[in-house]
Amino acid sequence: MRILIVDDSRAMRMIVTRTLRQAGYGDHTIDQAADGTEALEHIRGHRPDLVLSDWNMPQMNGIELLRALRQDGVQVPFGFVTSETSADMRATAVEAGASFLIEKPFTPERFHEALAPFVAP
Amino acid sequence: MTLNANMLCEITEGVWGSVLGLEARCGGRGGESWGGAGEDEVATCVEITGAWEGSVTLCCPTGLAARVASIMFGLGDIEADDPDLVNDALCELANMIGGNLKGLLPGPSILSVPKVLGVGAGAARESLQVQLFQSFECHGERFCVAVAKAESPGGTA
Repeated sequence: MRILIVDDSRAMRMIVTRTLRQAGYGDHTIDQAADGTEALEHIRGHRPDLVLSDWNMPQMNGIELLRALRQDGVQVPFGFVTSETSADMRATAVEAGASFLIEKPFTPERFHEALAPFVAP
Repeated sequence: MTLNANMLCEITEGVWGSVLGLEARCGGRGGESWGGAGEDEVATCVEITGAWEGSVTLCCPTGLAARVASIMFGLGDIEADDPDLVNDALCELANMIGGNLKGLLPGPSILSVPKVLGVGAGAARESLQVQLFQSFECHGERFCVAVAKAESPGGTA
């Protein structure tokens, strides 16, 4: 299985990667992209099984990425990993087709709970 | 809702503990004026625009900032001295603190991408006035979080 992490922060991409390993997803292929534009190109070429994306990013943000994917007919499971989890944003995410939203800071247990319905450890 | 020092303490201590595994103890100065980032400090901030207008700034001494970056990048005991790594790590922490504070504020509003502030700056824009300032102790060093606010939504203070 292939998981794509999208975040403009290198530190956060490392932390998400580390947390995925701690949550039992270390055997999967984990790819990274630094913003929505880079992610869109990657997804078109590599067809990941799950996308974990930050919301606020330069170039193309997370919600723009999700909308672009759904517009292209790409139905890959998509979850946000973000410091923003207001009710408005949750509603916007679900409306755009997001499967879940993980709030920063997070734990391996929270990752397991959110990812389990989509990717087996 | 009006932000207060207790909210700032709870969120910052939580982020510090969860992300870094470090204890940050809220204490010392609070509520007084703050002159912005010093020469030996790294300051990063996120701006909030919308129903609530302002910014949240994290300011760390360079030694603590390097230690924080080292932990976030998994470098073990090697201190991160690359400014790009340090800035990236501090930006992400400001983003988390700001994002969590934003959740307590009136909405809708938008959180900016975090950025590094220059020496002497205390907020995302000069027109914002620091209204809440709290210092923390971590491993013998002090860092601070400051909240600056415009006088009215969409206003320029």
